[in-house]
Amino acid sequence: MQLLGVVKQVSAVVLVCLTFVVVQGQTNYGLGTSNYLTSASTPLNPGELGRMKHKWYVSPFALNARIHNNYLSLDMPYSPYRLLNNSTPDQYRKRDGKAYRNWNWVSTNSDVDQLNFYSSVKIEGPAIYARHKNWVYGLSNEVNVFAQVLGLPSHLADDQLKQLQDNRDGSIASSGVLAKELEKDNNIQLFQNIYHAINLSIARSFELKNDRNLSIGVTYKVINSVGGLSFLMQTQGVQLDTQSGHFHFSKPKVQFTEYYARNNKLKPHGFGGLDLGFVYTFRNKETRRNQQYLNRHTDYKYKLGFSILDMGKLVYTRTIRSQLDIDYNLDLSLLDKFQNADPNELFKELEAAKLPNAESTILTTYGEKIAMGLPTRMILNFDFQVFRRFYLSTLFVQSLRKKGVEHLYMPNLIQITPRIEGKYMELGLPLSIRKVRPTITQGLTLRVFNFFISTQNVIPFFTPQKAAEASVFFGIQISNLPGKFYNPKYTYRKFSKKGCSKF
Amino acid sequence: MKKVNLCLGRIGMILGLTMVLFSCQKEKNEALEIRPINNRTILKKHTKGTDYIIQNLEVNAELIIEAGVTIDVVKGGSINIGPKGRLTISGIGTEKVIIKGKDDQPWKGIQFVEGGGFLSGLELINASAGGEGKGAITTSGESEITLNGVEILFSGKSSALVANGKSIITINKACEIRHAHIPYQKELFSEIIFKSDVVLNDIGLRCILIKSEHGNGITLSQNWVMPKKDLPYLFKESVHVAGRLIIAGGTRVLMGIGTSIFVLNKGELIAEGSPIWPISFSCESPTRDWNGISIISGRIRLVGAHISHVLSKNNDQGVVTIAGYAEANIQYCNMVNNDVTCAIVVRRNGIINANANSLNQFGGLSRVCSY
Repeated sequence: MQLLGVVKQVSAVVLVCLTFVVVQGQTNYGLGTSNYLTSASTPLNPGELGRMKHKWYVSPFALNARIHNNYLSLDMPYSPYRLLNNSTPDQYRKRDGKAYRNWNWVSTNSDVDQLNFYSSVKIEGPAIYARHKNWVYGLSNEVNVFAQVLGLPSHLADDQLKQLQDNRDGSIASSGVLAKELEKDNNIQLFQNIYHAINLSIARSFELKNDRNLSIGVTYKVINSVGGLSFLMQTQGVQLDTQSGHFHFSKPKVQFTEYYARNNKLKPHGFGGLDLGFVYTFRNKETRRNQQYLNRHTDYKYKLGFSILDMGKLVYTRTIRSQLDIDYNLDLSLLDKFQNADPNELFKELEAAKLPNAESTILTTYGEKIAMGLPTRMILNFDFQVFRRFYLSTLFVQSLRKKGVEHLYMPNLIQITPRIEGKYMELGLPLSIRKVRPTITQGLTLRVFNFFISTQNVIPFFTPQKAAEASVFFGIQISNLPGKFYNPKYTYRKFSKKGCSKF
Repeated sequence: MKKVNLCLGRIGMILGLTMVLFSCQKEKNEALEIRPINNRTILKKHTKGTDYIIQNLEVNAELIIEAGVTIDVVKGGSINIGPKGRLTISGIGTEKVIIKGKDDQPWKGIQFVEGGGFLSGLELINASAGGEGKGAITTSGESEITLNGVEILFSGKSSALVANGKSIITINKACEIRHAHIPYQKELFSEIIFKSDVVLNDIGLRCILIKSEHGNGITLSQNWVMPKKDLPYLFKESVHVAGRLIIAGGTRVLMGIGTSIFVLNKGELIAEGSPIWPISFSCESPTRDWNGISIISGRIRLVGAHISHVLSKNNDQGVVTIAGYAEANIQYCNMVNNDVTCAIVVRRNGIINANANSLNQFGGLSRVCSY
């Protein structure tokens, strides 16, 4: 029951985070280089599967969520961590004893003029992986929830927040505010999508000379979407070409799309997705071990990983898309009488005059085939054993999708993680560097036996101030159960000076 | 380990079988529901089966249905094209647009209220829920629609096409009507224009039915023209001509059993045929009769007309009866196969201007009787 309570509390934190700010990204990067946690490393590099240390393993559940945005932050009067202990101060509890939330705890950052967030929650599991000779096979399940906002003008977010703080209906910003945005240069994208994937993995490890090793893995994803929504507004005001003295008017593009799931749940949306990964393991004299040892433990000088994840597209046919077209319908003969006028003055006058002349039409299209790119990204990883059991890992994530178009997107990241790794325990301190604010965050990863928990930003758990990001990744994997049948004893042969008996 | 492998193999087999079982399940409909159309909307083909489901669709803007789209309408549902609406169906060749009742249940068809449309490559099936007096395609107000390669099938008691008000239905080419009631116009205010032959199968009488809303007779108080059409006109009720009715040469007019054409209130009936394009007046049933033409007040001009199947039990009633202050100009007419004593009966103040030589065939009747 206590465990259930903890799960409830953790769920509550995640829910609060989801509700309050926005969720982003894959968080398991900190554990992604772990040699014993295949359930965390395989989603980042299928090649890691070929290096699996277990005969088999099952991962019943893992949650991977992160909260991050560049504009809103959470100024709670107490640490969000206290929600975990159910130790919320009494003055912040309702009559029934439950903690309440207050929109006034959300503050804004006046330094930025656009709100961006890329969010994803990934629920992984159940997953089952098994080795047969040099081959490893896997079958896993995942649910991805994406919610992204790109380029939302900060005053629009302000307006919305104010409505929430004033306990008004909280609906999306009024049409008047949106209409004003049509006059400016904007590229706003609001996006939400949920999809489910069944992953079929296969990996193989190749022994190279001098106990070096190359592991290659492929994961094919059969993808079914639950559906989604997107709102896209691309506007560009009047532009003056000072060379030619001509004005250019580009049409604003405003479109709202609804994506619906298939009624035939087993029919995938498109041809599916593909992950491809390679891991090269280098061993020097000190780290060379015999194969039986390596089957259960790990040792190398460095490991180089390269993977491309989520290649492919979600193809929707059950769609409803409404597009607003606006023609400015300007009388260009007006330009003649302003021939000798100051171009900037003219520019201002025309800009002021354009909207009243605008004619707008809405076109709704049912059943248009829309292919939405999966969040394709490239991951490079270099894991170096500085000294025994102490590793320094660097990870670089580069998105291969363009922003602002109809694709799912995962932001870029550089992460440096010092970690101590043993068979039964692992501790890491990932330092993440990104372009978006907060640019540097300090995380913490911990694995004890087969339980693991990780965060990319520990700060919000300890301080209530300016929590613009929080993340959590936790789960369990079950493998090689104790006992002779499941866990046959290996007879180790000493191959180097440091035998396995010292592990 | 062997046992574990065996176990895993079995799990894999079970999973595989489950997948096979799931994939064998009956394929579900991928149709999308359509909301009321309030802005320009395009419907695209997006799945193998039914693309869209409609209950009652109100169209208040332009609706474009692309080739190959299949739409199911739920039982009793309809598509209503409002005053600001327009329906464009662009089926081509084998990629027709199919609008049918869901699970072969009856629905009420497409109704144009003022709005217009261009329907090409359309199959309209099971639009029979409207019943008698309604159509698979019904137009009203001043709506104008054009049909091109339209098939109307299994409309039951509903007519294939109904033109109400001042609406116009133009049938261009390659249209076919099967297992449906005949197309009809109401009170001649509206018009069904046949620009090409229409294939009519299993529809009973092949004609354009003209009937009033209330069923108590058709009153024509304005000026109307009945152009020549491939199909005959059928007046199910007596016609009261209080305005001016011009019947073009070559037109065939069928009258309901026991009905008459009355010219009254200074009305005017002008039926000018020619030897090549005679105008024929007959009864809808070859074995039954109608009551002929009576001019009570007004004028008629009959030239090159064939009038048959008129029955009168009284001597003062002829094929054409002129009563009151009425004037008749009858030339080159043929009045055979009538069960009357006199072909033309002139009462009291009636004036007849008939070219005796031209009244060439009266079937042995007295040509003109005066009372």
